[in-house]
Amino acid sequence: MSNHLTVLSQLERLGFPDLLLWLLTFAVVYGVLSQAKIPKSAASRAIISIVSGMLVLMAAPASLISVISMMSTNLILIVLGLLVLIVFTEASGVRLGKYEGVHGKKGQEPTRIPKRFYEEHPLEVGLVLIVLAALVFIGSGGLSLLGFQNINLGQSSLISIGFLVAVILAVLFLYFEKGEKEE
Amino acid sequence: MIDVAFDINSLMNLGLPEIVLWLLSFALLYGILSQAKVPQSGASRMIISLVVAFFVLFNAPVALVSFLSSMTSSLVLVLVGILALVILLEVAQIRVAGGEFEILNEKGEPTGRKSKTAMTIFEKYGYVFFAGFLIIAALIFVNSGGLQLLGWNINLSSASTTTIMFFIFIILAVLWMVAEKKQKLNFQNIF
Repeated sequence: MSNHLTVLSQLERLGFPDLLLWLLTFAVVYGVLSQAKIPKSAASRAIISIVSGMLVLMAAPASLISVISMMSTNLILIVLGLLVLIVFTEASGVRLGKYEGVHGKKGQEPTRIPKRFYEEHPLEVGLVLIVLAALVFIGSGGLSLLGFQNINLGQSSLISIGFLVAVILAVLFLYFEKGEKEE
Repeated sequence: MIDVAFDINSLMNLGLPEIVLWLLSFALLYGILSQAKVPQSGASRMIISLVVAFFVLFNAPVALVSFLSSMTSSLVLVLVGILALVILLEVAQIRVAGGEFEILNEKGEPTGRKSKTAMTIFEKYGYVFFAGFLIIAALIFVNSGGLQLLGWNINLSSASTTTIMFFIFIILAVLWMVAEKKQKLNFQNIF
């Protein structure tokens, strides 16, 4: 009985951030379930989402709210930074793309196919975005919330990791060059 | 650390900068989610954007608004500069040769005739301008205090900046040499 009362009093003490956290969990879970259409019953999906929201609220909401808030801010910052670059390139009309071998319609002058940077190099842009997302996640304290608290990267270890990545890239480059020659 | 005790009273005390920040975050997120159509449910997208915008508001809104105003003013300044350059180039009708292309006949076969195309310098030297704009955007972001807000406090001394510059030059030189080597190989393959 006392346990039930504790839960009820906890629910009464929920603040605006907790309400938002519940709403976010509900929306994310319901959205994902609806996209996958699992289960087929919409009522079941709604109940699963409501319960998931409640369960998230029960598990350390203060630290979770802090991490999500930090991550949201960092996400907006990164998006704004990217937006600045997009505004510059669109304003000047910078276009990439290879023009050699581009033929026009039959009997007409050749048409040019200008491409934006992210259309010409989707893989590279995707890799950069993955790295940014990982940095935002780690920087917001996502790892400590997941339980990986022992990973403390100092400046010296970051430099070592950077060199390691450079070495791996160099080895990969040599490996692929060797493969091209063998072909 | 955010203020978890944020309540309705805090909401009532919000000023215009905070409302603008909320609106911007909401619009950005809703726009991106709608473009990607993730999740497919429009209501879910709306709720996610709404909630995340509130979470942005919880986390140092004053610093964020200051960062935003600083970055926007720099953005407008550079943008006006780019527009001035574009206007001057368009007034002078400056075009560079884009390359030669085969003209095809009605059946789609090459006729042997070639046509030359002209393009703007932004299209011809797209990579150079993109790299330039990338550097300018990064400088604006860093100068507005974006890195501090992200929590990446990188304090570079003049010595380490010089080392990094040398490192970048070395990488560029190696890349240039590799590109030249590949071009020579392709040339040998053709003939």
